[in-house]
Amino acid sequence: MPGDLPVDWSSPGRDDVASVLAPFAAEVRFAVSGPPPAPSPALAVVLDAGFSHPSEKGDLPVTAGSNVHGPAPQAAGLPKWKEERDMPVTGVLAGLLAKIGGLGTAAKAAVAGATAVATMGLAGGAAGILPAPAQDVVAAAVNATSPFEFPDGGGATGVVDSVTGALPPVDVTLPPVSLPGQPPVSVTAGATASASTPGGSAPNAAGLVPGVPEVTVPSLPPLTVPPAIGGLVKGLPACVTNLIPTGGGVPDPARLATQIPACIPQVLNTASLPPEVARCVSAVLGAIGGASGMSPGSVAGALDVSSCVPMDASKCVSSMMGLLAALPGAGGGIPGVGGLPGLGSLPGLNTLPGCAPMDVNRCITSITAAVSSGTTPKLDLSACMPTSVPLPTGLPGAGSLPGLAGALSFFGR
Amino acid sequence: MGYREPFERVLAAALDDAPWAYERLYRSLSPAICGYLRVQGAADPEDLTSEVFLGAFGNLRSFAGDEGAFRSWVFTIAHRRLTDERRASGCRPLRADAEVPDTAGGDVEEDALRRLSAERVRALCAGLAPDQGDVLLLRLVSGLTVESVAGILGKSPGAVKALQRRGLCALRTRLEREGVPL
Repeated sequence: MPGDLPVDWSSPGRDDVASVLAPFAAEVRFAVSGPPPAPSPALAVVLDAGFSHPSEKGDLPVTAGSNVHGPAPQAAGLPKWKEERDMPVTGVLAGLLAKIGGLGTAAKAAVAGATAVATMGLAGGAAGILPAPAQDVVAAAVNATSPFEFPDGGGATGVVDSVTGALPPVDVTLPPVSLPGQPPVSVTAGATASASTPGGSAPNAAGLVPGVPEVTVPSLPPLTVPPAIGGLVKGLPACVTNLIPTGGGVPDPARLATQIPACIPQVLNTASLPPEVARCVSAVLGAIGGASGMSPGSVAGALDVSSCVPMDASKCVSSMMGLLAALPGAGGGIPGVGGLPGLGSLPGLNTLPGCAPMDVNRCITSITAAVSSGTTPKLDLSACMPTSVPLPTGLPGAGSLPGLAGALSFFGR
Repeated sequence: MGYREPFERVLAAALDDAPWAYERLYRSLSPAICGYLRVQGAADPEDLTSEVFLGAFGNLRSFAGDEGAFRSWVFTIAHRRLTDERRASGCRPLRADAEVPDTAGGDVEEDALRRLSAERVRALCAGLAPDQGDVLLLRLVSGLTVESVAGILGKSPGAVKALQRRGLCALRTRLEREGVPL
């Protein structure tokens, strides 16, 4: 009998069995042997620099783009049972973002383009100069989660226009380019380098990708930020300008797919959004990019909007614990709370002090409907947000508590 | 698992976000994970392997246990990703990508032979019930115990033993009757 096989040859005459099946086992062993496979771009960043430190090469780290959902347990000050039984929320988004690296070239470029617009569009979106579908994505996400109102793709420039003055329309859609040996891809990127550096010139057309024809990126007029919002938008971080290749040209979609997830939170931080809002927007933008090709049912299971609805965690958790302890057979210190199905339908849950109900199904449906459309999604987070409620203070930022989507408090806009 | 250092130290370093620890864990376990996904017919086993490890590293704080438990945990993630892919594709098993995988430092000929072996294994397991094939391949590839495999598949150890027994019998019958060369 092959002594090294972890198989119990329990049949009679097992020597005969072994002689027949041993070659199969050997075949399996050979088929699974070999060196480690080449990691995807997203994983390579982690292997090189970890999740939260810049690499020696200065590449952008994979940071909160894949870990925005929750604080470290110690930062949240959560009850110990939560720290010990934490559900794998952050890994879900990390996995979603990793899907960007796994897409085919055309799909990857499209996703990179959409998220590039989302990342760079905080300035471009404010100016209303992005292509309409992209403008809708950025406007919906920002409008739903912040006090700012960005114009949508089809309308006038709205609030910002009224403050900054009318901006001339600028077509920033790059023509489709063909990469060598690959199907044609289309990369749409907002040329906001000049918006982040007022008075700066547009990058010169110089392709970095071999065989890609040179394109001329139109220059944008300087974006004048009025004092009223100047303190809030302090300027875009270097990761945005780094998305544009040195000397101009077409961004490499594969490189964008790695840089963008890490750049999103940096841009949001620069916009001085409340931390919970930044986490929410970043999580949803990341999920949009990573959800390409996923069925609505899968997206609903993978997307966690809990970071979009910060709460007074300590008060809600204590109320929740009291309720769960009263459940038959529940006992104290309930493990795996996040695994309890239908938590939102528990009787009395809607009236727990410190918690407040949210129509989770409507929220999830609004998002999954957007990502399942097969085209650039028009994201509307308004279904996930309540009407104005006084902003609670001292939020521990525990947006990552699993399974409590049906019992979350929220902040007012 | 060949970490060159105690697993506990590697795990602690990974929890401290040390890149070398991630690299060590990846290099130690990724060949088996990728191989398992390959023989199970994943469309892009290399990419799916990266997804598995990104998910594992991102959720490392939720893991607690020794080396064997870690191996079982990562194989659990891999099997669930595979299941998700099967559901998304609507069929099983999936055809492997026809392109030669981008294996870091790999030998092309060895890779080709390995892929042929994987195809032969898939062809043999195609005659088994899906659960039987999962049990046999998990046990052979991961080297985990019946109990660990039961945890991965969400079944009882008794059920896993029964599936293993029936799978082996079916496989033996086919090998003897058809004289399938290996």
